[in-house]
Amino acid sequence: MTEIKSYKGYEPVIGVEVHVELKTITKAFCSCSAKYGDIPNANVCPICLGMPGTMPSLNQEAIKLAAAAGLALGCELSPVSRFDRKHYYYSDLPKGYQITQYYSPLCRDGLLRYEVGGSEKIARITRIHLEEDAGRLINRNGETFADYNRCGAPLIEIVTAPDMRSSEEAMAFVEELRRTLLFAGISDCKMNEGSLRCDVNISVRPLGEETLGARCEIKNINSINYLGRAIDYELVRQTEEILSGKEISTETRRFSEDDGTTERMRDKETPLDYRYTIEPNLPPIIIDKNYINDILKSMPTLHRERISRYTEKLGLRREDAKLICCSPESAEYFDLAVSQAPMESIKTVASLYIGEVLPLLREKKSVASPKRLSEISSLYVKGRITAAAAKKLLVITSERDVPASELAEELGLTIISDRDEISQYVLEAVEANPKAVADISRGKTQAMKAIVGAVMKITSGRAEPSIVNEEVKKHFDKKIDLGKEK
Amino acid sequence: MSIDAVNNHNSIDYVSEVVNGGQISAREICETALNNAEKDICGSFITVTRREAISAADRVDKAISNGIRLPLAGITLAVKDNICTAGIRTTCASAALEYFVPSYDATAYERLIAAGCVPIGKTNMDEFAMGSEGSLSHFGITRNPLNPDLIAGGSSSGSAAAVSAKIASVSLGSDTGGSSRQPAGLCALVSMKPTYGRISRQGLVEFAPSMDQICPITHTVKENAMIISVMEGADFKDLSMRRDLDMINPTPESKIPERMGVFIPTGCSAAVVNAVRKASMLFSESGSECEPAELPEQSYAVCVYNALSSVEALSCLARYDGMKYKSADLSSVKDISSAREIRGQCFGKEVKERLALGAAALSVNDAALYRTAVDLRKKIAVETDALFEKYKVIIMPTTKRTSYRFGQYYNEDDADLNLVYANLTGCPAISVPFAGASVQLMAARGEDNALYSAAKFLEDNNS
Ligand SMILES: [Zn+2]
Repeated sequence: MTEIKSYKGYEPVIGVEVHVELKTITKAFCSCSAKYGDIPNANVCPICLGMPGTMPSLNQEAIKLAAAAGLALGCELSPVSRFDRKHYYYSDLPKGYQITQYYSPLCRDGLLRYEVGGSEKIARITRIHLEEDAGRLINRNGETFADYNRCGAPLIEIVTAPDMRSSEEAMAFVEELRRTLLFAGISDCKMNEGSLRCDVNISVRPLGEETLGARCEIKNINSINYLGRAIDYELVRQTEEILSGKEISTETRRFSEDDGTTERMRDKETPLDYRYTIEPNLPPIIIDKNYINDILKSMPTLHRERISRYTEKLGLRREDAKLICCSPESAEYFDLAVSQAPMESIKTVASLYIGEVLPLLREKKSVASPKRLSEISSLYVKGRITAAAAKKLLVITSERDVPASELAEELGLTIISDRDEISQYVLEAVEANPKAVADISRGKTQAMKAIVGAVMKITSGRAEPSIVNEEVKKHFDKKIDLGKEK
Repeated sequence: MSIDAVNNHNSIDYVSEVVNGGQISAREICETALNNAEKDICGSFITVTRREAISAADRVDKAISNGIRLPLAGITLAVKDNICTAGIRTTCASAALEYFVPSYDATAYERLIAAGCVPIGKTNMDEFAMGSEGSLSHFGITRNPLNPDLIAGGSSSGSAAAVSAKIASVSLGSDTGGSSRQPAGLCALVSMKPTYGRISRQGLVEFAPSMDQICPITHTVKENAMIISVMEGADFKDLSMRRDLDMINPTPESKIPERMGVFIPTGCSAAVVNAVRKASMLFSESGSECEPAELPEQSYAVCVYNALSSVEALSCLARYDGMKYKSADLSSVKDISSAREIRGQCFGKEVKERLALGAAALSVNDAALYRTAVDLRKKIAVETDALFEKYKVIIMPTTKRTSYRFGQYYNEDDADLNLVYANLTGCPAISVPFAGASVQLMAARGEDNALYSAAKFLEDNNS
């Protein structure tokens, strides 16, 4: 697909609200498991079912992860933040309200740098607050079933300023956000499982116009691709509406994955519709310098820092460094391999990793250990095995974890670089290819390639090609010289 | 020992003593109490818990025969029907919870049972604790055992009536804006609304959680202190609890406060004014410095209370849609309007009015009423704190008048003025019978022991 930047002289103004499920063991306000994918209603209790008289407890790990998200996104953490109740009636919300942070969010005023087409953009993060997820309704044969496993699971909502100007920017932003949260260990960010969900606010205005138009919110987009399609569709729809003299109504819309359109759900809610009140059952969250320092100390290295380390210290190409940083698991694997490899083989480690290991890692297939990758890379750099042999060894060591040099010997994959041995093979090849020899003697020196090829065939590709070339040349040079002397 | 000797004796430490000593069994006391509860003509109970009472009594007797002493052995307990009791229906006197049987106990209740109390029933109340006459229950009205033509008060009507009629030794009520102190006052009983956060609210069905507290209703000050001392203490399930409070002394000594403020609002009956004057004279004769005092912001304190309690009720009652704890025919729920209709059948008129007030406070003029009320509540708390810089205790009426006929003062809406301060500020307040009416004492947060001592002084000198 192609992302549109403007349409009939109108540009989109885009802000996103991203809901991210935190990677905690238990739910936010009770001790039920927050695991995804268990049988419906396996993980519920009177608290998360909102039964009368129950009171919320508070998952400290959820607060820590939410605060870590704020720090990873450059936010200021509020020294004191509180919980509020957001009321709406729906069967997936047993209390009739969601515990959230409306009046005083945990984090404010952050920003995220991201890249579009090689140039850096910035989107401001207005706020990040902690809240609980709702349950899930499943419609089947005209009946509705409720699964409350997710009900009460901790979420953060990340709200941006309207800082994006194209679907491409919005997509790049969400991808960068996803990667940041993934590397910071805050969430597994799986859009297909709903652990990262996106609402997008979009309005359009003539290019060059400063003021904002009326906006629509498109709810619950669950892939980055759909996000782009929804924005492009809205840009065209809203522009056409305006050009035909209509006004854009502030409303909530739904994206249809089938045909890529959006349709109206309802008027957009205002804060008044949610009747926000203070949550009296939970104490305020107090955050001090020590708390922040502890989080910073235990924060995993983010992909941004890794990418600059790979390019600046290891001399990798930026594109390669970004590929390696596609996931924390990938980067950690690579770091382990690099830590065991000498400096001169690091580029080989990187190229073998990206070409051979990473595709398997992505498909969750078994791969050679980082140690074997570094060993195999060293063998290649030292000229003891060919590139083909290196790839073969990577496949074999993913099943049989034995030292690469032993395996290369055992399987006869080491390179033959002994001149005497190679000259023997040259003689064999000459004997077996009289036609080529005849051609050479008639001055067709290109036919030497056939002899080189024959030597490689005899040695199953193990002979060092440069030496073979030299030995073949030497063989015929001798012949020709002898011929001249006669 | 005869059962009459036990029943006619008011003191629960005496009853506990003879049960612990094996002179009478908990089972025998409980059978009598159950029979009386079933014969009750005042409508005190929604559910009499015969099965649970007998098994609890037998457990107590067994423990005692095994040489274990229990601090409240065999004390019969009536529990307001908004306090969760595992396996026993907990209705809040509402159609919305007609079939709600919790799987868990309220922490405060659980501690009393562990101490040897025997639960004989769940008491009648105004629906969801909203009301002050005991006349707004889905299960019928509660009458005053002292005179069945009069109200027992509310909302903890049945809890006061059951103790006043000597069916149960003690009871639990809840107090959001006077709901325990007021019926105790009208039934000549003692009730303390302790400092907010002293007693776990876990298991108390919420009305306005920033003000709700579970409160004992008893015949004497000492009994009251004994019950609270068993119920109080940290509960990790209630994060709004305070951890910095002195423990309650279960045997309060009679002691007068040094300085006292005397507050008598306008519109009190002669009997009430007389009782408060007499009490303050008694204090000053014994050495307290007493002077007239005014509670802060009297012109709008009740409004602030009404706005905030209604807003919180709107929030807390949002979960009752008529489909979960009620026997609604769910097959008739096809769309939002039929769901609305089912919810409409959940609540009585008073509850609906308060929910409407809550909704208005949260929507009209950008929720100005709610936001203003939140600010004014803080102001009232600050000014009340300042008052307690000056006075150790403030003495005032519990209610403006002694008990009256149902609906007699229906159109008066400022009846709660002297009651709501303790809830708005979280301060402790106790109602004690004195000189033919009831007197309320209020102190700064955490000063519950000082209140018990002052109340004990009044009780000891009541003629
Ligand atoms: Zn749970």
